[in-house]
Order: sequence, then C-alpha cells, then structure tokens
Amino acid sequence: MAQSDWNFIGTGSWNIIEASPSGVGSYAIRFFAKMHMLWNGNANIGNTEIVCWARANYVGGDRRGFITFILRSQSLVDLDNAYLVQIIPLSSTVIRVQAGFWLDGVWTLLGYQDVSLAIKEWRKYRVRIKNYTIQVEYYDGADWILLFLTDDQGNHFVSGAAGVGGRGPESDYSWTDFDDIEIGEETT
Amino acid sequence: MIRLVSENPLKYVDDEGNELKIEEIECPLHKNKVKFVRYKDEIIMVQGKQIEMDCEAWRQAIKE
Repeated sequence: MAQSDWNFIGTGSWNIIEASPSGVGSYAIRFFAKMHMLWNGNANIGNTEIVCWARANYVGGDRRGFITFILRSQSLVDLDNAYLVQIIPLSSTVIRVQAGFWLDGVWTLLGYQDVSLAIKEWRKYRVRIKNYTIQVEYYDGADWILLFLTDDQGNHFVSGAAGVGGRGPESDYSWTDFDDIEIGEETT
Repeated sequence: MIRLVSENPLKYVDDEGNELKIEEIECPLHKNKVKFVRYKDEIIMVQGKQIEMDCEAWRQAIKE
C-alpha cells in the first residue's frame, strides 16, 4: 500500500525506520505516542482481518508503547466510533491484550487477558473480527497462537475500515513499530 | 481476565464467572463520570469518555 492509502491522525508523530522483520523490503513505520494510520479503503468491519508485524517499546514507567488495532465506523477520521484492540506491555515479559469500543466518544471495555509474552520483539499478529467475535493471535513460526477472544454482543459497527497505531503515553519514548500490514476481509 | 457480559445494565465477570462490582466516580479534572471495577489490586476503567482512559486524576481520587 502507498502512503496515500492511509490517513494519519492523532497526537504524536511517525517516521520511517530501517527495519525488516519479515525480510521483505528494508523499512518499517514507527509511531510515537497516540498516532494512528487508518486505511482509506472501506471494509465490512464485522468481518475484517488485520495481519502485520509489530513491536513496541518497553523500558518501564511511561516509556512504553501500545500496539493498537483500530476498526472504525464510517468516517475516515472518526475515532469516536470504533473498535479498539490494544496490546499493552505490563512488564518486559507480560502483555495485556484488551478490546473495547468507542461509541460516540465513550469507551466501553469488552474485556482483557494478561499473557506472558515479550512486546519488544518483532512478532506477527493477527486481529480478526467475524460476526462480531474479536480474535487476537500471534504467529509462533508454525501456528497462530490465540491471545484473546471476546465478542461484541451489541453488534455496534457494521461498515467502515481498519488501521493500526500507537497509543502509549505522550512521550517520544513511547513508540510502536509496524511492518507488512495487510487489511482485508476475513474469509475463513 | 475480565469480560463484559451485559452492556445494559453494565456487567462484568472474572475468569471464574464472579460478577465484578461496578463503581463510579467523577473525574476531578474533567468532570466526566467514569465507571470502573477493582480487580486483582487494579482499578480498571470499564466505561467513560476517551480522555479519561489516560487520566490519572480520577485514579488518584479513588486512592485518596
């Protein structure tokens, strides 16, 4: 995808870094603080999949980044109505996988699960929404490993699109890297 | 783990199925209502305005 395929929004900044977790290409994108990029294309967000490589900064305190996946409703820059899936470092070896939604700007937590997994290493993650079931996984080199499973019983958002970003504290120390992002309709 | 089992009324359970008590506080800084649960020595925001997700003022008010 080209840069023009994305909308960059939020408070923070982004830049291109030299990194290639998958061996494809030479660069990855880094988000500082609460910066996101949302895909311009529309998708059925009740039936969408995001696959990407990601890692985040964690050295304790405010110096941590969140790996964030957004499945928003309608408007290209609407962050008041969206599903939000976050991978949050609690320590160097424990992450919190959390899902919820913003409805007219009000956050409601769907749930979370704490898992032993280092966030600073590049990993391939997959977030799927199908029939309002939200599934978060990572790839261990052989299989997709389930991190968290929940559902939106309210079936809030039907159409819109998807994106990724950071949502750490407002600090240059808080960064999140992504590479090889694929967004599409979940078909399996 | 905690998960939402009912949106209206708002209801959460832990991984053993125990219902968690929903509490509410007004943020002293932004004057918004924040709903939260206490779980394993943590205060978990379960519903409120986006700005409260990162706000320390209401969390501090609970501790005081």
